[in-house]
Amino acid sequence: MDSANIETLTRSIEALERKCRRQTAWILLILVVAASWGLRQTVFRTRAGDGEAGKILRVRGLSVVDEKGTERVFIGAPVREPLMLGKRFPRGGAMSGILLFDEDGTERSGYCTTDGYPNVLFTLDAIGRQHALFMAEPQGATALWIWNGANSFKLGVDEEEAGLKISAGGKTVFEAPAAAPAPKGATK
Amino acid sequence: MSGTKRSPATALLLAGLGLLATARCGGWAVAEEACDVWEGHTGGVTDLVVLSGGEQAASCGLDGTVKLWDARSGRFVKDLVSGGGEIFAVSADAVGRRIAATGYDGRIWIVDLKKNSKRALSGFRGWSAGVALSPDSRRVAAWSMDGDIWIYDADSGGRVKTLKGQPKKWGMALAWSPDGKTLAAARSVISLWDVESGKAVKTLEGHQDFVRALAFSPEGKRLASASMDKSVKVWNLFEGKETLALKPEGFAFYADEEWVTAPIRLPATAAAFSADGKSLATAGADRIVRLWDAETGILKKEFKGHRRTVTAVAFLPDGRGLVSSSLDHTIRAWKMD
Repeated sequence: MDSANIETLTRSIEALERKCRRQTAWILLILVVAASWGLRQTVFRTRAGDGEAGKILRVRGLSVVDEKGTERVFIGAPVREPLMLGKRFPRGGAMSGILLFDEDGTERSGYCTTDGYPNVLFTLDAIGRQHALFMAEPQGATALWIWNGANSFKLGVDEEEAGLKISAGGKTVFEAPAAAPAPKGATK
Repeated sequence: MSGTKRSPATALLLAGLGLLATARCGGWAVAEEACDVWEGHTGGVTDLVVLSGGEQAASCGLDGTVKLWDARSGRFVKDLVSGGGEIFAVSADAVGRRIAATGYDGRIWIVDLKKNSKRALSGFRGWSAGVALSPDSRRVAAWSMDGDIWIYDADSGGRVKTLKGQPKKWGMALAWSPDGKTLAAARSVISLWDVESGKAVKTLEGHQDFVRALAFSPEGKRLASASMDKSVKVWNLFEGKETLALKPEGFAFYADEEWVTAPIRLPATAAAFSADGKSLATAGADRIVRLWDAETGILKKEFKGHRRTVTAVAFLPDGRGLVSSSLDHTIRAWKMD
């Protein structure tokens, strides 16, 4: 091989090496751009997801059922008529809030505000009977009642006074402040 | 029976504190009775009636259907009503011609089994939780939310009479006497109405809460009432007096793969006399079907198996046993021997 050929071959090799470096640089650039774009998309999607999760669900009612399809929790405005042992009863008045039901679907508890006169109340019920009521009235009068038949416990406060009354068998066994004596001449 | 009894109040208190195992400490393990299970409802079964002759039964439920069953095999035959709201009550005549049903959508369904047709009556305020078809299939009675009882002509669908109750004092339980002349209706007080005159001729007082079910004895001289006050009473209709006060105790529940009975009392929902009038079947929120001597009030047998409140009981003829419906979505057929 003469020197001219060697020189030509050397230039060709150098040219190939430059081309290879340029292509490597382009590939790296493309990879960096692709990675940047991918990262940006990922971040964007995550933020978009955060936005979806943060949306407010606006419904009039939401029912949570168990594996047999029995309604166990209901959030509603207003809540529905109560179901008791398979039959529905009319509710005393419209109210909105959260209701809990037992595995029969019978209403056992509620945490609601009432329409009309705006009380807020919390109830605990036996099957078919309410036994505990914790309620605040709009002006601040607040009371707790617990009862079962002729036995009861009443605790209440308002701006004027606080009171506690415990009854057993229908008779008052404790009352504070004590009940005022009947006025003279009063008859039953 | 095994285990230590605990007072109901203590068991309840502890159960209320989340120590549900206590209810079992206060109860005893029991065995499940063998029975046939009729499945088909996709919601709680709210009422059940055996049709005249005892070959078929009809049930209704919170799934909005009224279903017809072969009462011998327990095979589902067909839906008589479907596609509406929750259905609370079903009633049958004594001649095998019609059934009536009612529910939350305020309609009263009358299904003619002979003609394979049905019609829906409506018009009253709210909905009705109780319906009763007269033994001769000519009249349908339903409680209205305004406190009155409406009597319809089953042929024409027209309202033929209104039994005036107290305003808004509606009830759930209705039953026709076997001769079709008297309608018993109850809130907590039971009223006996002379249907022809439209007047209440007698009241039976004693229950402290809603009566869920009424059943006349076959000869029409006694009436059984099952109440939310946790008792079942039997009344002598001639004297207008209570002759039996049954207070079933024991709540059966299934937990950790065993049956346990807790010593508490819960509302009664169902009562039915046997064809000879000698036995009375009752049931309720305690999930137990009980068989009593209807004269002495002696408990003869308990049937445990339902997983939820039992809503209705009925006798099958010829001593074939009992059927019961439940909010566990099933109907169970029990052998009595």
